[in-house]
Amino acid sequence: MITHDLLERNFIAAINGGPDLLDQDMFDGPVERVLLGMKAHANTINHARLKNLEDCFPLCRQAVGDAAFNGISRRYVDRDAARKLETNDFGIGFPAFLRSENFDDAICDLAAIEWAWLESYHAPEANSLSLQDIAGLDQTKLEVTQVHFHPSLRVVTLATDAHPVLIGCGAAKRGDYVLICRPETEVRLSILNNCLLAFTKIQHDTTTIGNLLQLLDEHSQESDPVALLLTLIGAGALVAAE
Amino acid sequence: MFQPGSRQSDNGGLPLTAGIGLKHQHYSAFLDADQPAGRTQWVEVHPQNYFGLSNSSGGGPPHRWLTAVADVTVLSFHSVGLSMGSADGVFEDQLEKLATLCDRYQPAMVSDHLSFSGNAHDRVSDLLPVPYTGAMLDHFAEQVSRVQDRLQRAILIENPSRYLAYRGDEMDEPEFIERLLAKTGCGLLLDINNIIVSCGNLGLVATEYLQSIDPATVGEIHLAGHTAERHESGPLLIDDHGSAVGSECWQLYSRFIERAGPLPTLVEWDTDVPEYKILIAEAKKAEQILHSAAYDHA
Repeated sequence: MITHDLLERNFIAAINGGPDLLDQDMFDGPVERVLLGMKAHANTINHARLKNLEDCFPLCRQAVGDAAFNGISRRYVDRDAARKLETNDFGIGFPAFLRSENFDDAICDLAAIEWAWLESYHAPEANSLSLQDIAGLDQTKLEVTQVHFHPSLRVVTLATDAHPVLIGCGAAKRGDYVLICRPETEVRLSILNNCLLAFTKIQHDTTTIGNLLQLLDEHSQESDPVALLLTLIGAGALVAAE
Repeated sequence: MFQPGSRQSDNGGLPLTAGIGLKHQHYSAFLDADQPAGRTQWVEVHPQNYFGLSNSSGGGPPHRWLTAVADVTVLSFHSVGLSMGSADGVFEDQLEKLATLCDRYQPAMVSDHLSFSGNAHDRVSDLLPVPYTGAMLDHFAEQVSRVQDRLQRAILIENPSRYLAYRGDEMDEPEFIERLLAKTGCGLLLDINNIIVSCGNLGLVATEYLQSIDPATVGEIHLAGHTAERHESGPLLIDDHGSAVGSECWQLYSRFIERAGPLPTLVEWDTDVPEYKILIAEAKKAEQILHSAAYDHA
C-alpha cells in the first residue's frame, strides 16, 4: 500500500486531471468500474464548484449569458489558486480573475459588487444610526456623536458606468462608489460620489460626526457634505459608537 | 459504550424521534408549523452553511433563522468539512469555526464523515473514501480525538457512500468503524442509504453489513434516496439525496429498528428539495416505524 500522502495526491490528481492520471493499482475491481467511480466523484466536485459560482454571481451570469459564464467559470475552476479555497470562499478571486481575463469592466464591477454583497450578507450584526437617533440633538451634540462604519459596509469603486442588470444603480457612473450594506435583514445598495478619501481615512476607526462632515467637505468636491452624511445614514452605513 | 452527549453535562441527546435536514427553503414553513402535526422535534443543519466567508462571518439572515429555529426545536450539526481522513489531519480552520458555532448554538449532537475532502492544495466539496488499513485507523482515531477534545463532546462519525474500494484495504468497513469507535469513544451515525449505495457499487450485501452493526454504538440514523446510473458493467448507485427514501432503505431501517429500538432518525433530501409537507410526510413515515419499535420494546 502506498503512503497516505501519496494516495491522497494521486486521488486528487485523477479528480482534477482525468483518467490519464489515475493510478489504477490503488483500487480494487475492474478498471471500468474504477473509472466510473472516479467519474462520479469528479462530477460531484466539478458540479459543486460551478454551482457555487452560479450561486455567488447570479447577475454576472445573467449579464454574460449561461454559455459564456460557464466557460469563464471552468477556466477559474481549473486554477490552483481557486482549488485550494474552502467552499464558502470559493468565489473570492472571481472578480479579479475576470479582470485578468480582460472581461468588460461593467461585468468585473458587477462581480465585485456581488462578492461584496455576500460579505455584507454574512457580516456581524450592528444597530445602524438612524435619522431619529440624531433628530433631537443640537449641532454641538451632533458633531461630537461618535460613529463608525457598519461591519457589513463594503464599497466598490466603479471602473465604468453601472451595468443595466444592477437594479437601483442604473444612474451610477464611472468613478462612483457603490455602498453595499446590510443594516437589518436586507442588503442595500447606494451610490456615493467623490468621497472615497473620506472613507479610506476612517474606515477602521471611530470618529465624530463633526470630523466626518469635515472629511466629506474636504474630499467631496462640489457635493454637499450634509447630503452625503444623510446618504450614509440612509444606507445604514453608520453605527453609533458605544 | 458511546452515549449521545456523553461529554456534555447539560445538552442531553437527540429525541428518539424523526427529524429532517432543514433547508433554507423550509425555514418559514418549519417555524410557522404546529408541533407535532407539522414540525419535527429536532432538525439537522450543515454548520458550514453558517460559517460565512473568511472576510465576513457571524451574522446575517442565516443566523437569524437558525436562532429562531433553535428557540423552538433541538439542533443537530452535521458537518461536511472537517476532512478527518486528510493526511495533514483535520482542517483546523473548519474545526475552529465549528467550535465557535457549537458554543453559540449548543447543538444536541455533532457529526461528520469517515472520509477526506482534500489537502492543503485542493479542497473538494465531496466526501472521498479512505483506505481501511491499520495506519488509517490510527490516523483517523487521532483526528476524531482531536475534534472531540476541541469540542469537549463525543461526536458521531457517518459511514460513507462509496463508489471505490482500495486494493490495500486490510479490513472491511464495519470492522474499521467498530475499531474506530472503540479507540475514540465516538458514536456511529448509521446512514442506511449509504450502506445500500456502497454495497450495491462494491458487490457487498447490505443486510449482512447492517447485521454486523452493534445498535448500542449508533447515535443517529440517516435515511435518504439515491439514483442509479445504468452502465454495461451494471448500475452505479449515486448518493444524491435527491428523491424520497427508497423501499429497500425503509425495509432495512425497519429491520434495524426492530432490533435496536427507537433511535433518532433523520430524513435527508438535499437536491431537488421537495415541498415542506412532502419532507415532513417522509419523517412521519419514519416516526411510525419508531413508534412500532417503541411499543415492541416496551
